[in-house]
Amino acid sequence: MKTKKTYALLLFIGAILITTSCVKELDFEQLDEVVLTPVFEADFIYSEFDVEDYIPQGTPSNTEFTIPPEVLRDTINYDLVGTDFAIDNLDRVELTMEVRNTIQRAFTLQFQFLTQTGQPIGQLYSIEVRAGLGEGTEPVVSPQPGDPNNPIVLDNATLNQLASAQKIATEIIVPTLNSDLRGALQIRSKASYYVNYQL
Amino acid sequence: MRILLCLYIGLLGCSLYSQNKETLYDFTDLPQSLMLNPGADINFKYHAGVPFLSQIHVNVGFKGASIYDVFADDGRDINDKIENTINTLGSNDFFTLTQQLEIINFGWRSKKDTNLYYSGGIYQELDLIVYFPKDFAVLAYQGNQDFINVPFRFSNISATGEFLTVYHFGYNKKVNKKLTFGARAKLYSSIFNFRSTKNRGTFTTIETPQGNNIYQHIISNADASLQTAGYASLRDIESEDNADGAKQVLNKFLGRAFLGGNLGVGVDIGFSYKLEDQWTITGSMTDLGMIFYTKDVETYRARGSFVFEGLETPITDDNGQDILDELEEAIPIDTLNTSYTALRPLKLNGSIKYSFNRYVGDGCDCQDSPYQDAFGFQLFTQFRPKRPQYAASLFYYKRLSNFLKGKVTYTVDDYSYKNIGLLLSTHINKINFYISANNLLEYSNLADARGASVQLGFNVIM
Repeated sequence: MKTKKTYALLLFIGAILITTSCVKELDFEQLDEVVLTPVFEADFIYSEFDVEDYIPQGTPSNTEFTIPPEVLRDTINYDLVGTDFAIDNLDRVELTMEVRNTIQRAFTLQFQFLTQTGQPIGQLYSIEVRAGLGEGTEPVVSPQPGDPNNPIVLDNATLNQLASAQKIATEIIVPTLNSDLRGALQIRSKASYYVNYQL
Repeated sequence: MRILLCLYIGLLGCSLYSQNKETLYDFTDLPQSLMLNPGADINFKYHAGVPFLSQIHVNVGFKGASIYDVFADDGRDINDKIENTINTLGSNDFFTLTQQLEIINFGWRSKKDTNLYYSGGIYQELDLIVYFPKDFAVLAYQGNQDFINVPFRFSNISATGEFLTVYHFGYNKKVNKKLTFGARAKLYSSIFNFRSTKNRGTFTTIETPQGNNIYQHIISNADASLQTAGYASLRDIESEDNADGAKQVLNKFLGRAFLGGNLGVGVDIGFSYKLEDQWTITGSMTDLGMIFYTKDVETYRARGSFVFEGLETPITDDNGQDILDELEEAIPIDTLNTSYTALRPLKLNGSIKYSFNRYVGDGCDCQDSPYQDAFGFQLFTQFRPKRPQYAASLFYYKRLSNFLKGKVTYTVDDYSYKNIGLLLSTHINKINFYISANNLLEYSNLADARGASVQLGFNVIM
């Protein structure tokens, strides 16, 4: 008799547990909507161009001179925007330049994406650098708000175009200089990667 | 990625706690109480667990969140819910999973000295704890743009996992009318182990207004390691046939389970002491031991510092600049085969109990205690990589009949202030069946529970 009662009680408790235990209103389909949208900021290129380093030896005072274009041209490996991950999962990349100039000349800074074989791909990006006020003065910062290519935005369509980009060519286009000029051009930059990763 | 996230969130949901078995502790009607306190005041003549069925224990826990926080069908955007959950969780929150399966368990009272009770057996255990890597979850989910000058700490990465079999033999002695003392020797046979603890160093993106570039990305004094034992040989299994590969893995696991792997030793000790007729205090220390990992050991370690401030142009180095090469040179990842030793997670239990409602009349099968009711207080601590886990319980024990005994617990711990547990144990002739679960209040919505624990088993007891 007692055994029966025991089992009856166990059954009763078991029934209560089973009928009251439940998992309410869960929707695992929501996983389809999960999107990771982190924004990563990383340094891009940097450079310093001091006029004095480029004055040919023996140039007399107050003499005009030019720098051969190849001297201030460079190609660096940069295949980040050409990877499958970038094309599939980057919403856009923003390249923000910050050029500080104390040389009393205006310059142009240019970027061009290249394929592995060095073929240009996509558009040429130019940044106009304002003339500085001379050595020892507060540097003039370019570009300023509202200037074109501030920042350079590579949207997803552009990134698709740049799928085969492996390198980036940079060039500082220097006007005719004078041997009396002093000062420096400092280029600092960062890339902001706007990820849009759907699970 | 998706599978990992599903798994992680899934595990996050079915959460139970540490290895606390608050309902089973000092439940001296069951031989399994000897596994929590070898000095439990038991009164069996002999016992034998039904092989593979004498104790099935599963304990999953997540401190800090529940599956409901993320997957509730409440119309809110899941991305907001994930972000909220990541923001709510801290680096001391964790996921833990413990599973135990008794393979055999037996015991008998000494014929020479009836105050002595011997017990032994084999059980298999899986024990996993993964701390929430808060800083790197934030980095992955939000990026570093909003965290300039904020260090991401490698110390956030902390996890251990152990899969092992335990061979044990213990004795339990009634020293006098008041004191019962017990000890148990354990031999651990590790099947698989990994641990990544005590990682150091930071990754920070700092603003450098006067620097070469806008930022500096600094990995500072990184020292991160992952120790594994039992992994390297599995990785080396090369089989194109999945079934054959699985068979090879299983054979290796079985070999290690039967003392063919890394071995360790440990002890459990405990006591019960009757202060007066109705008051009893107990205490135990279990898994005081260590495992020596000497075979099939592989440790991956990365140490160093690195500063990245962009690509310098024009490049002055003729070889060009390869950031990944520079990084690998600055912070090389070494693969070591050095032996290591790891402590088992030590557990401490203690209780004070007041028994009352003395049985009057005939028919009492009062072999262990003449009282039908008891209440008291229990404490539990388990040592974990970052800090110990604590739990405190109030309990009420009731002998409902000679056939049915029960215990109700109310537990407060890191995760919950409303954890109600229940154990029921039936004793019909020699056959015993018990079942225990905790967090009963959460049964109305298990998805919102952050913990629950289930144990059940069959024994033959005399």
